[in-house]
Amino acid sequence: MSYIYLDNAATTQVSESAAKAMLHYAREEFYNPSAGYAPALEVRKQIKRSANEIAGILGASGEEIIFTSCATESNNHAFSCGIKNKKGNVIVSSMEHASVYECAMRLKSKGIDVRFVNPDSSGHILPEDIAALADSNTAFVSIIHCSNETGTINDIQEIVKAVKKKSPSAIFHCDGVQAFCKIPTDVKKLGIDMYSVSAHKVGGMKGTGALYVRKGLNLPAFIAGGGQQESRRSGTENVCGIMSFAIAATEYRNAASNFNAHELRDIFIQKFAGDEKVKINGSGTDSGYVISISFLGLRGEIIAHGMEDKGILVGLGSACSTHIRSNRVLGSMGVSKEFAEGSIRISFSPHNNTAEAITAADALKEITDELRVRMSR
Amino acid sequence: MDRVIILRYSEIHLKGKNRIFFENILKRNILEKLRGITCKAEFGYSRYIISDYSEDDETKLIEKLKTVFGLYSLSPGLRTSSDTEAVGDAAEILCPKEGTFRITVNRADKTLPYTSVQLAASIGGRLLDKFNALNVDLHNPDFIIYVDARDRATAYVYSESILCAGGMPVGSAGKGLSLLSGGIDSPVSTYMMAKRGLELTELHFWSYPYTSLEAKDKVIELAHILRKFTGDTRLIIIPFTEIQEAIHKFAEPNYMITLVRRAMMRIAERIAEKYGCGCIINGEDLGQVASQTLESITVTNSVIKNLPVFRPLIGFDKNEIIEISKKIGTYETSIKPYEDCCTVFLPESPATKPTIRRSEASESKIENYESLISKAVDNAEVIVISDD
Repeated sequence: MSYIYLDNAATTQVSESAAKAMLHYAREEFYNPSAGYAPALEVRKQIKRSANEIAGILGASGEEIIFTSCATESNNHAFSCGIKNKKGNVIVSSMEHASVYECAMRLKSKGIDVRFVNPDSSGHILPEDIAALADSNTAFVSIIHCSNETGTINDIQEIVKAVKKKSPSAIFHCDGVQAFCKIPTDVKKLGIDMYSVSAHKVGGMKGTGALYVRKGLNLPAFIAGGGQQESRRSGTENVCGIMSFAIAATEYRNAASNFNAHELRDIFIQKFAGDEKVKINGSGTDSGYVISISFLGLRGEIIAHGMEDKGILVGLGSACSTHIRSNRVLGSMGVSKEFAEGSIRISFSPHNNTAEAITAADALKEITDELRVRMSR
Repeated sequence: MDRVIILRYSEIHLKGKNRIFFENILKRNILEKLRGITCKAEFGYSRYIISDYSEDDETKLIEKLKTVFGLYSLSPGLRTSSDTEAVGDAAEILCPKEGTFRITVNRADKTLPYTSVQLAASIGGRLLDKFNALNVDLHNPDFIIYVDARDRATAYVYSESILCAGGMPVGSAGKGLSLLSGGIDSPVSTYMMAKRGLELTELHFWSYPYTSLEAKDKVIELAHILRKFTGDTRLIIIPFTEIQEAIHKFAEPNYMITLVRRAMMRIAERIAEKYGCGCIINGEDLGQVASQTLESITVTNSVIKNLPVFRPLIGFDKNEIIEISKKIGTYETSIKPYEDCCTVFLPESPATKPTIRRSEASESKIENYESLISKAVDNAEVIVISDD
């Protein structure tokens, strides 16, 4: 069965050229990039070229990119290596992806002063809220760029300024998984120290991620071993993943520049406009790629099952945590439990089109109306 | 001398003239369990021997045989002739090189040229001569070497007895239908009735889209885990959505669960009859939740007309149930957080003291109740649980 796939924030289809590249580096140029012979050297060069390509999208340089196994690893890397000597306090937002939030909770359990900042009801972290929490002892801050739950975009540049004003030496990490290739990003302009991205959200392979680490920020090695990637992350490079990542990312960014995600998002917003039992979570600046919709009195998974039966795949929220019933991010935005339980997440890629969005919005309306009748007394 | 596994059966030996009936089922179940592993099974009086297997397969054989209901214990050991020399050789192989030990001899053939005590002393003496770090301790030894001298040609020498699942051979007590929700309790109740010899069919109620595909997969996974005790079986999935919606629509909210469980029992009885099951089994545990109070059980039980309902967990504490579920390997699957149908349309305060009269009054308000039940039975999906 072919589906209308609207869960692109969970993962995306691997692009054809990325898949071809993967196969090429699995079957043809399969050499260990650390080996001394010429074909291996060529692979090493290709990896550098990929790093440059990805760095280019972020406004960074290739030597500032560390390839990882996923964005969760990148985030763990940032937390493990970014906090020196366990001194000072840490600030994270409560709208972070689980891979950041749980890292923060782990630090907290070790006795580190971790401070959580909540988003406002529109789903944004306000610079003044961060400023209120930060002080001269703030050592590490991690704020998500674009929310994986609602698609809202945080004003990282202003947030960084607010933090650095209080604590110029604070290290600033930003989880950029849902922003990467979708919104123009210049890490230098943002003023951040680290930025996590993932390949499989932009048409690359699962099992590949990257972490931008600002040049001059000396971090200890996250994985010790054979000294690959300038000893910052040892382990034979995932050549297939890395090569296909760069190809996919460039392709995705080009497609994204000709794609109006807001147009698709608006179809859903208009479909449910005026319905008091339906709430669109998050407003203001957003990527357009993600829309979180809550239906009062219904349950997200039931709606998603109904959509699946109609050949439309949607998400329930972060795919990494769909088995946890409550939704932390929506809760922190002040969305009531009754609404939060009935939430689904629809997320687009440049491969989606208006017709699909209209079909899906119609189906969603039909299913939720029908469910309300079926579940009524 | 060859390696063997000695099997001993449990309470079957208490049976009288019908013992052969139980033994035949036990033999069949053992052979079914050994399918796919090259070995030979010899069935003697109250003692079965597995032999001619590759040494690499021994652990796998033991693990499989441990789950056969009807077996009390097993011992991996050596088979040899009964002369003192051969038994001594076997004892040397099994004997750890240090610590305290004793030899326990059972001499079935009284014509053998030694008494049990003489043989034990002779083997013990030989081991003491051979290994300097060994000492005899008859009362509290570190290990015991058992010699079971059957006749002149055969003695079994072994050093450990591993407890098996006990109970009665699956199939010896007839057929039963076990309700499997996906929670912690129902796999345990299924296990316990398989242990008492019932050949089981399992029944699950599925409320898609209110419960997920994952919830169904979880139950299938549980049925596969239980298969090592139940043998090949059938899992019947009842599409339950329409019935729940109808009950939700027409019944008093606090009677929701009561009526859902009555509908389940009605369907269970029909499925049981259809598949020749002589009883229904569920995982109810008195007082655990609102639907398991004495009054609730009375009301749900009252819809069953012809069959007994077994509730093997009725007197258990939850932690005792959890302990068994961990032991049989279902716990980790049971706690996966997928909704089961009991959590759909959950009222805020379910009735803890429902009455039959009010239940019937509520049910009478449900349109096409009978046809909904029949439809669910007719549309049941049957999944064969086997290793294929």
